[in-house]
Amino acid sequence: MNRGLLAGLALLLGVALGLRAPQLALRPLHSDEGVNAMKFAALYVNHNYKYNPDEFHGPTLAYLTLPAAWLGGAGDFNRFTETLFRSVTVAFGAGLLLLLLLAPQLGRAETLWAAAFTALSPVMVFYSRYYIHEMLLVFFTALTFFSFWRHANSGRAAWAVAGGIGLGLMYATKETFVFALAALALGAASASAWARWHDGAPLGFRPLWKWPHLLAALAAAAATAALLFSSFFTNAAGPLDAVRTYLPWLRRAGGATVHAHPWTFYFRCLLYFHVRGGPVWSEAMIVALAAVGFLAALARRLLLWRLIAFYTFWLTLIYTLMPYKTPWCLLGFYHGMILLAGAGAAWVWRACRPAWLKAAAATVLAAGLAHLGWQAWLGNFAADRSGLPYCDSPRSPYVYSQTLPDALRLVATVESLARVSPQKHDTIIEVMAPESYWPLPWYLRRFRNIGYWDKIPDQPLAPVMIVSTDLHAAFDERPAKTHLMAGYFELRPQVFMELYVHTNLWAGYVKTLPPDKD
Amino acid sequence: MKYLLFLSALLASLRAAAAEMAPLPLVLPPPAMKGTPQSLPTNTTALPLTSDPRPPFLAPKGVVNVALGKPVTACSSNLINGDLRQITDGKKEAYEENIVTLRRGLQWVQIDLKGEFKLYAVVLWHDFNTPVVYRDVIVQVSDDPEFKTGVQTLFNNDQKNTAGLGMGTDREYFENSLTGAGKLIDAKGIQARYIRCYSKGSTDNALNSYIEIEAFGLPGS
Repeated sequence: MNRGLLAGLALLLGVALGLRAPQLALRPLHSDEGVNAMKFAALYVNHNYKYNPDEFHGPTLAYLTLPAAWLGGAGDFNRFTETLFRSVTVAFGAGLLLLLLLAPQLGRAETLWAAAFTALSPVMVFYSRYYIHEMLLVFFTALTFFSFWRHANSGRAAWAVAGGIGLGLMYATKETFVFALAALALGAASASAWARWHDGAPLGFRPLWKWPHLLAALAAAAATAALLFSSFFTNAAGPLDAVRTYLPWLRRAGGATVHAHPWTFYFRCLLYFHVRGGPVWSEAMIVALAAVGFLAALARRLLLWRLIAFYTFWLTLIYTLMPYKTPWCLLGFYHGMILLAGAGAAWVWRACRPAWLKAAAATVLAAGLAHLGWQAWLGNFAADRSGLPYCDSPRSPYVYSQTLPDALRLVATVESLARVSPQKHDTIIEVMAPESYWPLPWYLRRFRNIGYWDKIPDQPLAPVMIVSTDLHAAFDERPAKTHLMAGYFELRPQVFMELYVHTNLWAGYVKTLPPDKD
Repeated sequence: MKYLLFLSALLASLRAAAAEMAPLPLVLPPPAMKGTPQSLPTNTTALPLTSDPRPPFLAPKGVVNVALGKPVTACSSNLINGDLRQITDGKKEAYEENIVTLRRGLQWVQIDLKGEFKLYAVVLWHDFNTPVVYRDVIVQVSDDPEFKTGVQTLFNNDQKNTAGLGMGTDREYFENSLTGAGKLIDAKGIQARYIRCYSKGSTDNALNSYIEIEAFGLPGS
């Protein structure tokens, strides 16, 4: 292994971790992160994790959080933090750089450029700090791809098995892995067709597959997926559910969802995003270099690059045409673009022969890298004009239906009420919301007598009630005047909750407040 | 049979009671603005601003605004602008010349009704040129001009008791610039001579501005 390459990768890994690891609790948990954290509670606390084919994606995220929980030493789930959960995806986001070592055929310069873009890309940084399945899927897809590539080159069964395990992990991570598989198949077919048409002959490489190795890979994939979907043989229905899951997800992919967006959605995020009062966000340099890399891959007779190029093309097309879109779904095809951008940057560098041109290219590329790094820092650690961190602000392209800091103010108020309540964390709390009340279950997990409803339940009023304004509860208007409405709290943009508190409990709380300065 | 007789008697008495009630003879000033304002204060317990008219409020027939033209005092005579007499002069339009502004912090104005009245509704208009929320609005009545005895609270949205007059359980509300409706407080027929209204600045600034206060009632016993 080349020392320069290793040193460069080590340096870039440091940069990647430097942008990903600090201040992981700066942003409140997104509702999906809250769901994932509570799914982990089912595994860690209740030992009854079961794969749900209708929602919540695959089991890998929960199981791979176990090492973080053990290493974190928190023990008690109630003491777990956002940092602990997000450190899992940070590891996989940064780990993408190390996977590049599996394919020396990428080329040294190409590898280093791709590693630099992975390390600095604002979207890769942002979603590495996001406790959802997407970064794991990107990692396992790359692991599968490069493992099978190694097998194709070495003929060693171990790499086929590694690829099979990667495939099983992809399956057990997120249902959308089928798109990556489809893109790989289409990419392989396209590369083959291109070779025949462009080169006049099929590419000269050894037959990729030996049947025993293929069977071993499939067995490894099936075993890995079955192990995880069955919750380590405690949920017999799990593997069947893993197949049944595609019915509800197909409906969503077809557009029966609030997440239906136009085909330009991902390109708006990546190329030019500007909301008044915020900066212009753009990763256009990576996309432009990916286009160069794509063309270079077509021109050069290297199967690996052609596979990456066509795989990226097909995966981008699939996600673009599919109505269901959330910004994190772009990570899969964008990782392919980043690899191609590595090839594109290396091509540009080599193409610039005269010293002055090389100096100009170096300046442009360095400025581009600095711009990416600046955006990555801005998007995760800086605040907009109103003082709202960009990682929480609609002025960032990757902030999507994000929990607002106001939710933490609600949680702090409820915790303060519990401190003065004789029942402490046994205080009865009712949460009512026709739409999602997440991530409140995570933030209110210490309360032992808490219930959640999608409407106003027909039962006596609880001492503390958190109610969506959509329900028009008006508990404070009831003749008995037992409750007051203590405030509105914005859970997500334009999603407001009202806090109703029994007047006796509120009176106790008011006594704990510092005297008014006026 | 006994139940039927009871029910018919009850219905008859309800009918009689309803016959003596009528919508409050309240004349609203014109709205100060039209259309939904671009930004509204959010740190409040007020219900969302609406241009819907308030449902009619029923009060005994014959109630009148007993505060009209009655003397007004305040915790401080040092006003920013206006004259306290304007608070009961019947001019409710949201014009600059109708606004009486008291200094910052907790301030009160007091109306002497010059006699005991059975009060059924108190309606107050702070400056409603823009949809602001006044803080710590407390409306009390008493037969003691010093408000040391016989004090009864009709409305209190000082939920954190920052005014020191007891914790309120009512919500804040928007000064409704879209309807000019003012804040109507049900006084439930309480008998009193003095009305005192507190406030402690608004979401807009720390000052306390009034346009009008009306009190609907009948002469007391």
